[in-house]
Amino acid sequence: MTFFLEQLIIGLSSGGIYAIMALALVMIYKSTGHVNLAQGEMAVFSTFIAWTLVQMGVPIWPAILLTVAVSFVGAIVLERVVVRPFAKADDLVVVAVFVGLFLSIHSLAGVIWNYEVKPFPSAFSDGSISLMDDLSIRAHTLGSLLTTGAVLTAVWFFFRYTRLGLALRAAADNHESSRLVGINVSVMLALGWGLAAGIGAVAGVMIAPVTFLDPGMGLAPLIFALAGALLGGITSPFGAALGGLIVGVLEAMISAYVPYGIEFRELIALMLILSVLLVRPAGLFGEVVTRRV
Amino acid sequence: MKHALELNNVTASYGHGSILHGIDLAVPEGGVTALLGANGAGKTTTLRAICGMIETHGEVRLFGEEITGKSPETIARMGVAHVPDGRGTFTSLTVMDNLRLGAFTAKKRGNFQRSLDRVFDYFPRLKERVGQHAGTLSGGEQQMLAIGRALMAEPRLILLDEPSIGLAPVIVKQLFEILDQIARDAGVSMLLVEQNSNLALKLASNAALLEVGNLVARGTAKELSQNQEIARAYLGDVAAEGAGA
Repeated sequence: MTFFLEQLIIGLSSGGIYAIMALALVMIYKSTGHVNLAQGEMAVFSTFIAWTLVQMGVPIWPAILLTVAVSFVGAIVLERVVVRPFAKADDLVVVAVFVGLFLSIHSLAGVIWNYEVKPFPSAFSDGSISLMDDLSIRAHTLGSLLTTGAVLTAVWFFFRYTRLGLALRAAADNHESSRLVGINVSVMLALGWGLAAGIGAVAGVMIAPVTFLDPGMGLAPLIFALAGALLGGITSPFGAALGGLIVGVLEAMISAYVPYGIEFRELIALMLILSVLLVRPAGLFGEVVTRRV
Repeated sequence: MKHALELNNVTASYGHGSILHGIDLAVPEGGVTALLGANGAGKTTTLRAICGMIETHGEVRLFGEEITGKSPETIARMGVAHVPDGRGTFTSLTVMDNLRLGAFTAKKRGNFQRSLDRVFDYFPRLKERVGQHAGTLSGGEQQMLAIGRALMAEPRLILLDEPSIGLAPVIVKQLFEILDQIARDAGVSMLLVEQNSNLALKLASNAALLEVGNLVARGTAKELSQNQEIARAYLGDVAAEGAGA
């Protein structure tokens, strides 16, 4: 039982990271209809910025906050300069742009910081925290879980209760109607990118102490986050976040209980998700939009 | 007479195709002006030109102030509420969120509750459905929501694009009674685009007729409904047909 609890907490901890990454994917998807394939690479790039700040002697938490701010602004610029010109292009063109963005950011990170794997400091203490007599969990695992939980709560509150959050939801739902009620959709789209990148930066600095930092670090989390988003429903922020958590727990359980699970966890997790999607193509919580005419 | 809206020699086009060939139109302050015409005459385009959704040349004046070439969001903030073709509700958001968005540009936020009460007075059905997603409403309810959202903005001018389309006659009748009430109560000016000319001319005090991008007739609603040529072409009036033969 203790072993199970331990695996559950570890699973929720990495699941939290997939959940906020999935949320970032959904935010862009809902407002543009496209999956930002470069989301993981952007998060890695942000993490490298945090790493550089730490190397320069900035304490870890200020370094993280500064990184989130830089990522927010950087993504707005990226959206304006690289993505916006293709707003009305065909879907395949946009996919090509995102693949290009993926490769460019990946290579740029390699050029600046090289491909050597680097340790990344945890934002929490190095020790473990004893939860029960025979159950102790690494402080980073718990801290990461709390941090992603706080991000999810804050994002939910922002979208649900603020005027700006409402405007962002409106812009994601219907561009033309948003403009007709006086919302500047162009600003909302840029803001959406900024928020997604800021969230991605948090995911990056939470995952890097576990996986270590290198330019290739972002791919697996992106795949798991995307799997989570599809599982929960890519049109539903709540579903996507829950899907991310489920994927994290699945990953941990498969590694722990299935023979050779550690090697096959990605395969098994993805096959489970495919099975769900065969039955419910819109995902567990996705809208199969019910419309009456 | 002071005008809520004036169009002088307005042309508009989508890409290469010109749709409006220089139209002049005036909407007096207060009351309803109907813009009539067959399918493809340019009625919807005229509304889109007014609210800045398409490239427009010429001169558009809102209460005397030139708004030609301004962005839709700027024009919305200046007090124009557009109830677009196809209603344009935010289908994945709740009825309440839709109404909140209507008030997004409202000048005084303290008026929110008063505007909301007023909308619920006109459309009690919306009050019953505040928590429901707009996409699950019936067509009539969506149209009520679209109009309610427009009212939440406390607009000076409402543009209505074919509110009757796709609705059962009994619903249309109710809707137009409420529109009539709104026009009387609120002192807001309305420009109504309708294919159902009979219905529009009953509600409107003034009217204009569009034919393939040109304004071919205008006057009071009474004058237009008594014009035999118009009656024959647009009102399906049997008497007029007999008289003209």
